[in-house]
Amino acid sequence: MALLASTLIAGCSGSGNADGAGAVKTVTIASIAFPYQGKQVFNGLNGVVIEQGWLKEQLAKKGVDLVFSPVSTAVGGPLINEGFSGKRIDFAAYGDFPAAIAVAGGVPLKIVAPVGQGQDVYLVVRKGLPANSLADLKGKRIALHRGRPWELPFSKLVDSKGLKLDDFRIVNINPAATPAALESGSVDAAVLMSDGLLFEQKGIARVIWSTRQAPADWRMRAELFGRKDFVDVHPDLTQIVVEAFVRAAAWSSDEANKAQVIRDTARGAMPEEIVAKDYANSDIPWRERFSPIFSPALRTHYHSVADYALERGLIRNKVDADALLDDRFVKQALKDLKLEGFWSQSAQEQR
Amino acid sequence: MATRAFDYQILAQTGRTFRLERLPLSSFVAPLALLALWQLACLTGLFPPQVLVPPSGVAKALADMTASGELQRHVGDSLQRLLIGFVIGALAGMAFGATIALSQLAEAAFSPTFLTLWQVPVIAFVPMMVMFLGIDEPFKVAVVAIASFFPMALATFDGIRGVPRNWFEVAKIYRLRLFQLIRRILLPATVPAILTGLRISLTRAWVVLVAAELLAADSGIGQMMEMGRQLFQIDVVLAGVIVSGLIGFLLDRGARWIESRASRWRTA
Repeated sequence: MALLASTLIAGCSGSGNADGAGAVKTVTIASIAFPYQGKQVFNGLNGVVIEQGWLKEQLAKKGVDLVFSPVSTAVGGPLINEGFSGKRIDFAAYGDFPAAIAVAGGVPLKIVAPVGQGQDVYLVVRKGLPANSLADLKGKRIALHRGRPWELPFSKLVDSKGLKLDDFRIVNINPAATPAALESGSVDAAVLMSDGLLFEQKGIARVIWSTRQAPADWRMRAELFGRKDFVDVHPDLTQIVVEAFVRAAAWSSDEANKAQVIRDTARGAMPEEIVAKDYANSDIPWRERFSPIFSPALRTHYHSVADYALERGLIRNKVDADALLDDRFVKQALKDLKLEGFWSQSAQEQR
Repeated sequence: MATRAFDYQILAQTGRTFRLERLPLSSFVAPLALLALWQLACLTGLFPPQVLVPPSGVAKALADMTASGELQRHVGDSLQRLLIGFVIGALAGMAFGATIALSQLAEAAFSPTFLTLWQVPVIAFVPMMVMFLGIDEPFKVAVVAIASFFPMALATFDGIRGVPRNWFEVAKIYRLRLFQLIRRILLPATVPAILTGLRISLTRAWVVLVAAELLAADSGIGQMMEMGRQLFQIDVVLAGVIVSGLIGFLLDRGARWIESRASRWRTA
């Protein structure tokens, strides 16, 4: 009991630190990281932000430390949500569905910068299973890590075929545990991100469906989310963080840096050719891939995520998608960096 | 036999009976204080009620899940796994414990391996077990069986070795056969130790089962908690904590009751 009491007290005092106006000592950004050569490496824009070092410098000028908090892909969103709810992290670049779960669970967040145009989700079946469509998987075991962003596209696929989740045996295991389960036949199919392509290349599984065959909006998205209390109290710090991500996006969008972006994204996660294949599959022009623009499609996407998750009972409270979007920081950053017009305004509709 | 003396000590400590009826009031103080502290923390409003769920919120989650039948389904699945795995593990443990206690050859051959494996947390075997058994029922039953095997084997071993040597000598004089030796001397003499072993196995198996369900399962109380965590439904997680704690408590309590009845019969 003493333990519980001390945890509660620690929890309260911790939050006091994080929220007292002007008393910020550190800005903490959480993101998925991969072990690579004995270290945790962040890929995507987080990696570029760290590499560029600009954010660390700018925050240091204000006497604020920058901490990147690594989260393993085996846990992902749920761990980030726990960090947000305990006010231990201020920003996180992570997926749409876990963020909606957090907001519905009483942890208000804001999208302060989009970090990409969405990622494809793959449905794979284990080697030797003669299934070619979702309907063939009825009654079979499907690995689906619950509460992760790829759950929504899969759920939409199930609905579109007139089926229900109960028509399958859903096995809640993480992507890291999935290859062994597919290989041993413990599961017959799995819902995954680009790891699906990797498992196909390794001969463990075969892709039978991906969000490429679905409307563009079915793709899962990730953005830079900020904890609402933090963003409200510290717009100046938020502006610096967002500008750092816009700088990183501009660098990554340069065709000349494409090879390095792909190389860095692959670090510790998967072979370069899989990343390249996944990128190529999506038909998004290189320039637009990391666009931070708040496009109309982004708004539609979060409305769809919020409505759909509520309707399916995956979240229990309505999420106000409009309140989630906060584009003032990106607008300001584009102005400051003279990048207005660098990215197209409606990239996603191009597909 | 330093290890044996040590094991005895553990069994003696954990086997000490704790009587609820002797402490009618004081035993309610801790849970009530905990509830009050919990409620108080919620009233501070530092965290929204979805994050720091008040006791009433957890009660509501329990009621909702009971009404929908979800809770019963999870608890039923977990208890079924516990029962099957425990019967297999406890019987195997008893047989193994008796073998190494009665045969010095078997003891020399198996006990170092046994004592080494006993030190490894069952959860450490999970990745290997998933590879060989998959993630269905056999895996969870095996986890329970392994968790109950070790304390049971140890208790049986100590129980039998605790039988005074001269009783065996008496048996020899009376030329008792092995079966008679077991029935007339070993069984009655080892009942208390074995019952204690059963109780420890049962409660340990329950804890390990819930942990295994957290890692890989499609149902069960542990999986209910993991799903709640992933979907950020903290009330469901806390409901799971309370239900699994309560079941563990009742299993222990029930086993103690049987233990005390059995030892009363023995002294009578």
